[in-house]
Amino acid sequence: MTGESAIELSNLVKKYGNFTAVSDISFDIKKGEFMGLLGPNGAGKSTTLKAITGLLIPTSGTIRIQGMDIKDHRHALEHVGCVIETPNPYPDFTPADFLQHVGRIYGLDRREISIRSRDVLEEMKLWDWRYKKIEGFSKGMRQRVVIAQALLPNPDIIILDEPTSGLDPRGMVEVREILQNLKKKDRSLLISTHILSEVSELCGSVTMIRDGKAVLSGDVSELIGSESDNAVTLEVKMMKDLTSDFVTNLGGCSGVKHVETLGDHVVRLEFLGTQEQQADIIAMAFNSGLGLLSVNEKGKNLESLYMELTEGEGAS
Amino acid sequence: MNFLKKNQDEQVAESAESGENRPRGTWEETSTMNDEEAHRDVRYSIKSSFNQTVCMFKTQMALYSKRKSIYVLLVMAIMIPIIYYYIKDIFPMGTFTEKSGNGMMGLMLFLLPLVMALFTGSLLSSLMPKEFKDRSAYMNMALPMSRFSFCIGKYLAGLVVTVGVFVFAFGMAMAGSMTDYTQYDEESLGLAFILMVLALMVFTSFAFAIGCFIKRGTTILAFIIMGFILPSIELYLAMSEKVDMDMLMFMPNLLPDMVSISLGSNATGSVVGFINAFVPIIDITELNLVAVTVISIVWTLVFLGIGIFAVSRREM
Repeated sequence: MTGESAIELSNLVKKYGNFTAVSDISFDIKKGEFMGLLGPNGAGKSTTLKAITGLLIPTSGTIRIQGMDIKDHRHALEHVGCVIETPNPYPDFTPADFLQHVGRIYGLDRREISIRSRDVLEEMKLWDWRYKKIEGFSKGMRQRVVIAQALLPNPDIIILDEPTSGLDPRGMVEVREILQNLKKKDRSLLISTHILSEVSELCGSVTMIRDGKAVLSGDVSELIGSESDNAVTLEVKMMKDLTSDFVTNLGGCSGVKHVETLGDHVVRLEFLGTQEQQADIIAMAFNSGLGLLSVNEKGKNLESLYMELTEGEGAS
Repeated sequence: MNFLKKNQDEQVAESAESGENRPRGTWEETSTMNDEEAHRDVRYSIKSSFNQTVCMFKTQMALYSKRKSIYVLLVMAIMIPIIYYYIKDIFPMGTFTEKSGNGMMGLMLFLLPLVMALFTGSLLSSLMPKEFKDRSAYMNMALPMSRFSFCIGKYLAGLVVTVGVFVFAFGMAMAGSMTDYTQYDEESLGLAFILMVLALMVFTSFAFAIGCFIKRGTTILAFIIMGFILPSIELYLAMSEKVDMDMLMFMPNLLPDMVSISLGSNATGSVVGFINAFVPIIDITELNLVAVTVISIVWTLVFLGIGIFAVSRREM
């Protein structure tokens, strides 16, 4: 049923004493929608996900999963698989034992557990390790096990907090492929990640959080389009030192909105114009006598949007 | 999960015969299952809270089966009659203990108070802290299962294991005493058994509640409180006549001492037992079993409730 809400968050507030971790966050994930949750460290992403999965109690606001209030924890999460805050499966268990435990909680019978376990363990490339104790696994393998338990009950909604953390590049690609396949099954996904390319590849919508507040929310393509008005960044690299005349001339070219020098050899231009105007700029740089080395064009993307919105945030 | 292993072996054999590199589904219940059937889209439903409590109980029992401390204690219990057989001549029979099968049993259960405090502390105090320390709680509490089922399932597993081990020790003590005595007072045997089970309920619930409040698992707190602090306070109050000496029999934490005393052994390896050996302060003939049972059950329910409340309000 298209249009039906998978996850509905209304005015979520979470306070720890005088500190407000999450302030008035609202978003609505429709059935079949993939949403990315972005933000710097300490922005409130994990707090939001924990509130959605019942790991903490919100100070105020409502959370509904498939129309059910999260206060009815059991039924709201009945068709939800999640990985929050890098959990660890029981180290004394094997993946087979662990999935048996999770499967029983979700109501799967023995046969279904065996079918689904095989499915998810093969998908996560853990089939050959199913009888090995988890305590001997690497961080990446443990991450695969917890993702497997999230997928085991064939959930309608998947909530993942940095799912590719600890995985090698191949593992990251494999997880993304698995998540892409879920799109075909009309599943909903909420993913919190620092890896912007994951959001770009997987998600149709994004919510950016900063200081506990949602600063931006909507379709990825619309956000990039509206925020940029199709402007691109040109980085012109010259062999010789830049001259003030050269910089001034570049700034005077048609379509150039803003000029910025980066060191002695590179000029960054914000350009909004036609291809012919762009060709004129390159020709001007080539004929300047300063030795044109390269011209790099960077379109507005999620990364630049993220950097703009989080400008001023220190590393934490 | 033995059928998984069996199926995998069959699959490998089949694929070897067919020349395929990857085994395809062959299940115990069906003759053949292809990938489409294995990957079918099934929606599962959770079962009742009682069922999930049983699932959690089974999981915890499986975890306990992998703990060495339980097997160590079982071996120690087996050693009781063996040790007694070789050093029985030095036991001070008649001084602190009746010369009877019951008395001998009571003497062999000399260390029951301390061992009970230590074992229950080890097994039950660490239940919750281990979940948070290992980060398996982040996974378990995001499952569609109430925290009540989670806690009760784990506690009941701890109680069953503890009762099993101590009943085994009780049996071993009886087996040991049978090498010299064949006559037993069945009434006092029955009383001792009931008091031991009540004691286990009291000690396990207290240790469980302590564990629900602490972040890092430690067995020492519950052990010190139940093994030393509480008995010392009670003894002081009784000896200084601030409370009536008979009130000691209503103290649930002194139940392990009463097990040995009811069997006819005045000496137990505890603070109270040590004093009782020289100055009998507990008169078991005055014991009101109904009152002690009610107090023990109320104590158990209160501390279990406190522990569950603490976990239910705990934010991750």
